[in-house]
Amino acid sequence: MNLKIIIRLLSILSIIICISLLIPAVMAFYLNEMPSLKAFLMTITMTAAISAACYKLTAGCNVNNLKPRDSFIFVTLSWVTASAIGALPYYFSNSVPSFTDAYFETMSGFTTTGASILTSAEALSISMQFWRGLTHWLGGMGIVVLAVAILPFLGIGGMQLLEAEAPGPTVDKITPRIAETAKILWFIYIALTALQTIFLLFGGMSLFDSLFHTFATVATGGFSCKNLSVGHYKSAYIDYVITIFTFLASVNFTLHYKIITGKFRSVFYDVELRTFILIVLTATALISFNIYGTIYNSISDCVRYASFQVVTIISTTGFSTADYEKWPQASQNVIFMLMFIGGCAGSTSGGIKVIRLVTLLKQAMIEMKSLIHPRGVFALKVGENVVKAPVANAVSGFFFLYIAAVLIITFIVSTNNNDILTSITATLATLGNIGPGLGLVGPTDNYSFLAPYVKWTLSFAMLIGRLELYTVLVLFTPYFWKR
Amino acid sequence: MKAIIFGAGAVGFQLAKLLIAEKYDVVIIEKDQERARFISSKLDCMVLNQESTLTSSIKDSGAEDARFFISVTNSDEVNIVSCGIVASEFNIPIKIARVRNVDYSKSNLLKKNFLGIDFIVNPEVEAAKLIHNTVTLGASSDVMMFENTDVQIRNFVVNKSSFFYNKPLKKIRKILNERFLISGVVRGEEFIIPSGETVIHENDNIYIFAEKDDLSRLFADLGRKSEKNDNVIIVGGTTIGTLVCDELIKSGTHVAIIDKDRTLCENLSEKYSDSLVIHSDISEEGVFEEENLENYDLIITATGNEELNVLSSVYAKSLGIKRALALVTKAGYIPIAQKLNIDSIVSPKSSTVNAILKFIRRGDIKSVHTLFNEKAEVIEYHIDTLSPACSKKVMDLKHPAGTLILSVIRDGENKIPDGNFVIHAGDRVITIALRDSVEKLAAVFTSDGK
Repeated sequence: MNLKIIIRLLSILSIIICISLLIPAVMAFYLNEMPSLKAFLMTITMTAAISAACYKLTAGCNVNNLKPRDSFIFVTLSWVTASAIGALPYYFSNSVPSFTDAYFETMSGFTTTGASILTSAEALSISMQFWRGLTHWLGGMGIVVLAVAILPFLGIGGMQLLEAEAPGPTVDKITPRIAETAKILWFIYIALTALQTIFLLFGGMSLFDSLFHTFATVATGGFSCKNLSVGHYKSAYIDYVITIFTFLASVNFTLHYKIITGKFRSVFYDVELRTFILIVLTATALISFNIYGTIYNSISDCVRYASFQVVTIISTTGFSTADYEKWPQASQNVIFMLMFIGGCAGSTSGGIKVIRLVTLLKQAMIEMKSLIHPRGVFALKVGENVVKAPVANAVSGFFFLYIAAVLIITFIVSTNNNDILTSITATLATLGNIGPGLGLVGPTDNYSFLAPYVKWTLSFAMLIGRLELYTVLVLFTPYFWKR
Repeated sequence: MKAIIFGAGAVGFQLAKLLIAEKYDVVIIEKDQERARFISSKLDCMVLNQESTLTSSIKDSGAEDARFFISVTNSDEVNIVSCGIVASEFNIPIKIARVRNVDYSKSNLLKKNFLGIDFIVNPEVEAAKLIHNTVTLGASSDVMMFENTDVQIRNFVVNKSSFFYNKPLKKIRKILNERFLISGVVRGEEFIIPSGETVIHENDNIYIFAEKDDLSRLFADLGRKSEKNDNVIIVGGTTIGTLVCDELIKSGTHVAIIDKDRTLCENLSEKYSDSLVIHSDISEEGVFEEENLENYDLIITATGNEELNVLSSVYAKSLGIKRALALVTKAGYIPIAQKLNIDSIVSPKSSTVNAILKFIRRGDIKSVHTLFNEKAEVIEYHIDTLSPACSKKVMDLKHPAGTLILSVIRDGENKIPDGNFVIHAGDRVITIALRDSVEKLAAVFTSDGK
C-alpha cells in the first residue's frame, strides 16, 4: 500500500471541500450569521492547515503510481474524511451538539441518503442549511468524480477511481479520456440543476428553497429545508417538477449524453430504462388504485401523490408530500418493495439498481433453460449487450452481500430494542441511500432517537451503500492486507 | 486462350479440369511440390512449382497474354494481393479471387474494383445460398434454380417400389400428364442424357426439370412431400453454418445449433440469443435423446468433417428426423451419400466452381450448374441477334449428341420447345450437356464459340 500517495490525494480532496465550504461562509458573512460564520472559518482554517501540511510532507511522490488496492482505500477514506470535515461546522456552531449526529447528518448528505437527525430543519441558520444542501449536490455526482474532472493530473489512475465510486456494475466510458467523461457527467449534472431551479422558481419558490430542493433532487438526496419536506408547498406543479427531475436524475447519465448527442434510438431501446419506467408505472398504478376512495377522492390527487412517492422512493431520494404510513397496508408494501430496487446504473441514485435485477432475472431464466437443455449454451443478454460471466458473477455476489448486509445491520438496529419494521426499513433506507423508512423512521419521523452506536452503524451503511459494497468491504478481507 | 490458376487445391484442380475440357490452355501455379507433381500427372496443363516470385513465374511460363487469372490458394490475403500484383504487372483482363472471410468479401472495397479484382467468389457464401434455397424448397432433394423464372431441376433416387422403376421414358410421359422432363440419369458412375427409349433402373438418380409448382406436385405424388422446415438443427458453427443460420432466422425458422467447441458455442449463443445453442459433439451418445433432437424437421450437417456430416445425417434420419442435408465436398462421397438416403447434398467446391464458370462465360451465359461430379452441366444461354441460333427453328439447330434443350424462357415463361419452335433474340435457352459436349453446344448458341 502506498500511504503517502493516499494521504497526498486526501489532502487535495480536503482542500476541495474547504473551497466548497467558502460558499456558505460567504453567505454567513452577508447574512450576518456570526456563530455559523465562526464555525465555517474554524473548519476551513483547521482543515486547510492540516491538508497543506500533509501535502507539503508528501511532496515528491508520484500520484500516478496509484495501485488498484490503493484506489479502494482512497475512495473509502475520501468519503469518510469528507463527512468528518463536513460535520465540523454543525458541531462547532452547536447547531447539532453531538458529533455523532453531525457526522450522521453529513454522511447522509454526501451519500445522498437524506436521513436526518434534525427534529426541525427550519431551526438551522440559512448558511448552515445551504451547506446541508450542498453536501447532497457534491456527493450526488461523486466526490472523486469531481476530483477527476477538475484535476487533470489524476488522469491515469482515474478509471480505477471511477470504478470504485461509480454506481452500477460497469462504468460506461462515453469519451476516450476519463477526465473528459467526468467533465461531461458534471456538465449534464449542472445543466439539470440549472433547469430544475428555473422550473421551481416559476412555481413560486424562493431562490434559496429552489436551489436547496434542486440540490436534493438531482443528487437524489432527499433533505428538505422545510419540516414538512416538499409537502410544505402544497403545489401540484412543484410536486410534478420534482417528480420529473427526480426521475431524470435516477436515469443513467450516459442516456442523457446520448439524448444530447441525438442518439435517441439507443435510448428508446435501453432495457434498463424500459424496465425502470415499467416498474414506476406499475407501482404508481397499484398505489393510485389502492388509495383512491380511501385516502383521496380525486384521481388526479391519487396519481399526484402516488407518482411522487413512488419516484422519490425508487430513485432513493426520499422526499415526502404525504405521510404514506397512513396509506393502506398494500400501498406501504409497494413502497417497501421499491426500497429494494433503486434507480438505474450510472445515475445519482442508490440501491441495488434496476440493471442488476434485470441481470439476475435473466440469469435465473438461463438456469431454468439449462435444466431443460443440459448441453445448451446460453448467453446472458441485456438488450443488445452481452453480459460476460465475470460481470454476471459480480452482480450475483453483490446481491448476496446486499441482502446479507441488510440482515446484519437490521439485527444491530434491533438490539436498540426497535421493532422489526423500523429496523429493516431504517437499514434499507440508509444502505439504499433513500432516507425515510417505515415505522419509527417514517416520512414524518427522524433518526435522532437512535442510540449513538446505531447511528454509527447506519452511517457505515450509507457509506457502503453509496460505494456499492465491494469498494468498502474489500478492505475487510484478509486478501487485501496480504502482500 | 490462356488461363492462369494460382493454387491447385480441390477448387483449382476442378476448375482446371473443366477449363482444359473447354480447350483453354491452363497454367497452374502451385507451391507444394508433391501436389504440383500430382496435378501434372493428372491434367494436360502446364504446372509451375512456384519457386520464384509470382511475377517471374508468369513471365517464365509465357502466360502474360492470358485472359484469366484465378487465385484460389488457401489464403484470402494471398488471393487478394496476387490479383493486385497481376493487375499492376500484366495486362490480364480478368482477375478472380476466392475470398473466404465474410468480412472481406462483403466489404465495399472489393466491389469498387479494389486492386483490380474483377470477381470475388466466396465458397462459404455460395454454399450457404444454395443451402438456404434448398431448405426453402423443402430440402427434399438437390435443387437447381434459374434467375427470374420458376423452372427448377430436382433429383431423386429411384427404388424398386417407385412408379418410375423399369419404365421407358416414353411410357412415363404418357401416363403422368404433367409438364416435366427427365433431363438426366445417373447410373453407377455414368451420366446419361436420356432419350424416349431410356429405361429407368433401380438406384438410378434422376434429374427432373419442370416448373416449381409442377415439381412440388410431382414430388408429392411420389411420396416426397416438400413440407415446411420449421425446426432445423445445424450441426457445426462454421462459417457456412452461421451464414445459413442467419438466413433461416430471418425467414422465421426455429434453429438449433450444435458445436463441440465451447468458446464458439458461447459466441454463437451471444449472436443467436433466441436460438438453442448446444455444446456437444454430435456423435456423442445421448445428445439426440437429451435435447429431443429427433423432433426436428431437418438436420443440416455443416461441420468441416465430411465423414461426420454424412454419418450424422444418416444417424439423424434413422432416429426420425424427416430430412437431412449434408455438406460434402469429396467427389467420391456424393453418390454414396445419395444412396444413403440423404435428401440433399451441397458441395462448397462445386458451388465455387459454378460461380467462377458463370463469371468466366458471362455475357452469353446466364448460369451454369455442374452435375454429378462435373460429368454434366446445365447451362443457361442468353440469345442475342448475333447468336447463330437466333431466328432458327429448334429442329434446324445442329445440337450435338449428349445434349438436350430443356426449355426456352421467353418473358419469364417456360416454353418446352418442339421442333418447330423458333428461337428469338432475348430468349434464354436452358440446356443440359455432357462434359465433352459442352464446347460443341456453345458453338450452337454463342457468337464467339466460347
